[in-house]
Amino acid sequence: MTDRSTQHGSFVIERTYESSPTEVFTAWADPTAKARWFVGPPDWKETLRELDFRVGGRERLNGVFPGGRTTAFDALYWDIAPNRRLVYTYDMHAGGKRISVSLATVEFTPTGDATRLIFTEQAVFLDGFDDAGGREKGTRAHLDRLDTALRSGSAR
Amino acid sequence: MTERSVTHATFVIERSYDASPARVFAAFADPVAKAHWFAGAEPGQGRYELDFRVGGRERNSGGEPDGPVYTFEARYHDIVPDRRIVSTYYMHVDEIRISVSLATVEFKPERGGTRQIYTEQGAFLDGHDTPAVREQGTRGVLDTLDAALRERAI
Repeated sequence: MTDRSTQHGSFVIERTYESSPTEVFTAWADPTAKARWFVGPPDWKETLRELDFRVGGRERLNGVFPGGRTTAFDALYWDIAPNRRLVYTYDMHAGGKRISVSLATVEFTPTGDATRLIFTEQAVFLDGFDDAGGREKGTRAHLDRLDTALRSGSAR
Repeated sequence: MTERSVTHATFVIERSYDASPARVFAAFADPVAKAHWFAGAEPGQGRYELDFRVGGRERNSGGEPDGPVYTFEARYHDIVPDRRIVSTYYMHVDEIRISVSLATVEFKPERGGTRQIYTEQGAFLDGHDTPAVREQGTRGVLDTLDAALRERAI
């Protein structure tokens, strides 16, 4: 019998971006803008990208590492309040195995000329292939890349 | 501007059933059995649908006459027969989306019966529902499952 386990976890990341909520929201909603920051680590190569940004729409991002290990992100959008909030769920696969199922909420709040972003992920990590600590670290890297993209103006 | 808020919460409900993991799992996997305890309806009446496979959808809607219509719609993400089911779902009241949840159900053999662990991680939207009310509602639904298994109705 294969070992089956689940580990439930959650984490919250807060960031402030020197851009308007509309600009930050667009960086998530527009496929070209999102492709500038929502990528894997430097040695990872993208093999498939799709974003159908609407309630019920799907997003996919597949890639491969030099050793041949594949990754697949497969998301579904459940709630979209323009410039305010996103709720999506996603499966992560690594090496062909489903390693987690997550519920992610992104909230955008204006603070002066800037935007406060609150990212909350609630997840179940399957069969010991990943954990909340690893996922939080990866998500922080994405939100760092979003900051760089917004500063350079390339996320718009 | 409409008020937007999100309350994140997790609750866990553990139950023991005097039925094998295969029988308890079947209560979730078989559309006729699940309609009996989960939807209180026969399938094919147009208000309950279950496509139990990874990527499949489940839908139930109903309510009191002249009252609001409650709609539940789920997607299945992970299925390990007799062991585990991971799904996500939203709840609507009329056209208002009140929550999006991630639900994990685990089944473990225990002294001839089954230990079931239900974990819900939810995002409750705009103050339309609360984790406490959802947990209470879920406990009620699992009571109905327990009764159906005991009565061998499913």
